[in-house]
Amino acid sequence: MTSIAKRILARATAVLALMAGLLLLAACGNGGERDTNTIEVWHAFNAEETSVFRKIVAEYEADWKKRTGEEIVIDLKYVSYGDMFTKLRTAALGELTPDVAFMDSIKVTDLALGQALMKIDEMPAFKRRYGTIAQAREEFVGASFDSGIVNRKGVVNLYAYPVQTTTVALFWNREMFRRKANELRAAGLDPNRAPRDWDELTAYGKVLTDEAAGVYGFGMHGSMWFNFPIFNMYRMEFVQYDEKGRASSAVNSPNGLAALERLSTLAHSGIEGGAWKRSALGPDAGFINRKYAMVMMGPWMVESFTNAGLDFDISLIPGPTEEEVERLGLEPEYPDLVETWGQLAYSSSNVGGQSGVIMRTCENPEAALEFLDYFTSEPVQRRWASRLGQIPVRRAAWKDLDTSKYPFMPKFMDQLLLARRIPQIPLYGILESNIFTPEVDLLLQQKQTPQQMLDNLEKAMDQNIMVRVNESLD
Amino acid sequence: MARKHREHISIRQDLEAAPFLLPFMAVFVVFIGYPLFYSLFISLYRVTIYSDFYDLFGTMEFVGLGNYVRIFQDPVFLWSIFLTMVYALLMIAPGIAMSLALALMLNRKRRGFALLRSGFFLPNVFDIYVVGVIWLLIYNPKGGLFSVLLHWAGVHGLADSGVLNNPWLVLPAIALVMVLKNAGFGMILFLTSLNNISSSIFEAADVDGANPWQKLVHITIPMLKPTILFLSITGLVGSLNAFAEIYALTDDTGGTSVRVLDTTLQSGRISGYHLFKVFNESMYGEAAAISFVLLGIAIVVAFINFKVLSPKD
Repeated sequence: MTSIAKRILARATAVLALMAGLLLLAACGNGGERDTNTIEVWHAFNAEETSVFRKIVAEYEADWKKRTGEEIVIDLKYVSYGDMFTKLRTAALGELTPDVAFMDSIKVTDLALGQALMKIDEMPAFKRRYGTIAQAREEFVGASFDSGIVNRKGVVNLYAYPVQTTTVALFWNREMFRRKANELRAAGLDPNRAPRDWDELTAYGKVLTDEAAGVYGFGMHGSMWFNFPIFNMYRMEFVQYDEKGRASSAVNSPNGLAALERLSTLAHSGIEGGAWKRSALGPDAGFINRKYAMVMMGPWMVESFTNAGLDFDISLIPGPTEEEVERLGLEPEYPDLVETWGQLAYSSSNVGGQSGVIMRTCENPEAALEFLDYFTSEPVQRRWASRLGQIPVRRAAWKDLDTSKYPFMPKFMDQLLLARRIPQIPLYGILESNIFTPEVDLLLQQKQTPQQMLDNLEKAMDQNIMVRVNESLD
Repeated sequence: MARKHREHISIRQDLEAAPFLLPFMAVFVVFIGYPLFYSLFISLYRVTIYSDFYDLFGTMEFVGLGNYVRIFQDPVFLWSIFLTMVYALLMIAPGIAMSLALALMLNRKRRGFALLRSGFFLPNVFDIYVVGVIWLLIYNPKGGLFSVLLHWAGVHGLADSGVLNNPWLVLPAIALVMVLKNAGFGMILFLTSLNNISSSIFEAADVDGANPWQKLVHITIPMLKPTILFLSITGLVGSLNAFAEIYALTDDTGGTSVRVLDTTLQSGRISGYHLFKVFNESMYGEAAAISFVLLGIAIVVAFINFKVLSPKD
């Protein structure tokens, strides 16, 4: 061996030894161990929300010290909204999950079934404060709170608190309504208000549509989440559980049929601009460009629409027709509203937002729960709403809420009262992207009837989702 | 005696080489070898929706070849393989032809050709999501360039519904995007190979009276076979793994639906996209099984390609 080769060999050996040493040190480290007075929180708030959140956290830490004389650190870590579930799943493999995570409510079910979360309703602090799940529900926005309730093998528990909630309502362009005021009046419609049931929306749409100019009465979403207002309005159920936790598809019902017939009618009545199609002008872009007079949208678009100089208003999503209410035996969420709201009392919507969960490996779950309770408490939620224009998750904070800076907020709050939770379905991603989207695509293209879609949906759900729910229960 | 001495030297040289190879081997074993064998192991197990997130691999159920049986009984997977083959055909041959045409066109020292070469290569540098957004605008049924051209050509039905909403045109539309995007890369490879062909061969052909077409078919293309082989195999691997372009151009829906053999299927759900969807739902066992099936397909097709396109002595 030459001397140069020997020197290189010696250096290579030294480098290898160093690498091995580092690996050994890393292996011997205490990795995931955390101080019990530190609560690590993963959140997905944007910059504006984070700024408010940090102040709330600092006040909580100071308050804790005042009460207990001890230090507590709420260690905030930002994780993007879309990556949160994947990161929690990956971190769980190495037991590196945080103590608390604020995450997409839809994913709570998957984490709960995978035993990754604490059962909040079984924690002493919860029992002391609320007693039962039903009693706790009374204090929160019902539909948002329901997102944290999961049936795991027949046992129902609460796994999350709502920490941020949102919904969609009907946006309508007042200027476009005004321009067609005479025609609307001639058709027996009031140009100064939004439609109250879906037949009326179609009637408004027919007057407002000017196909030659590329203007349409309505811009419809194709995604499942955005169409839940229609499914929920007709009380269409997706899944049902027996007492052992065995799940089966519940879509194939008269209510499901009415919901899909409504979707199909909307798409083919000539008032819809094809917003649901791929590469088409989506509902938000079409509304901004004054191409769609009405769209279902959430509060997050209010600022963009306002900045675009649109003269618009927000109303409750239309309800079913009187004939449909009677035929399907639909019950309003709040019967006393029927007299004043008419068909709008049967309106419904979806629920989005985030839930706060306590991960199973949390070493101080009582402190974690107390932090969640603090964040969702009335004064904090009141501040959160007035600073950010977001709907408080705790109902007490709704009372006398100053919404002067956010005039549309009360309308979304009304809509949220009528909203229903997203169905508790494991593998929601499969349902949405592998099953619902392809089927609704055929429906909207008129390549299958609503009944055919229901049959296909039921079969696909049973084969791809329910079988996985039930296989471990047999 | 001499043979023994040679063997002794050879072993000594191997031993001397071992420490130099060790760093690479260590990286290979840790980052490629171990994950490869572990994913093969996982493909024999199934993660259920009740599997413990904190001990996912410990609580998996052993199913033997169950995942392989399951995916071969799954019409969605079989459909994705069929679509992948179609996509590969739509992308590889036209892609090579386009790259070769560009290379032949620009393989001259003319003013402005360097700029053209850079221009054709530029889309290859762009991220697929950027390209996807541009093409979504081009394919937009309401005022998109493609729609305008279709109206001009009198194909009003397709212009109004949009190319990406037609189940039979989704893959050709996406393949067109990828052919145009990647043509610049193939062009650079072909230009390099063209410059390596000795001019004396063309001079001899000129002496023999060969016309330009004969020179292209009998000299240029045979001499470019290694580049064609390389582009075919990388194109095949690209087709099997294709995900981002489907995600970007179908808005993560997998394309418009179509009914085939009493099953609703997505017209753009090729194997790479299907694999992503399965993996994303924590079905690691099935995802691993799909990976190995795709690996098997890639090896078989690459071997056939190699046999057909390898330059013969």
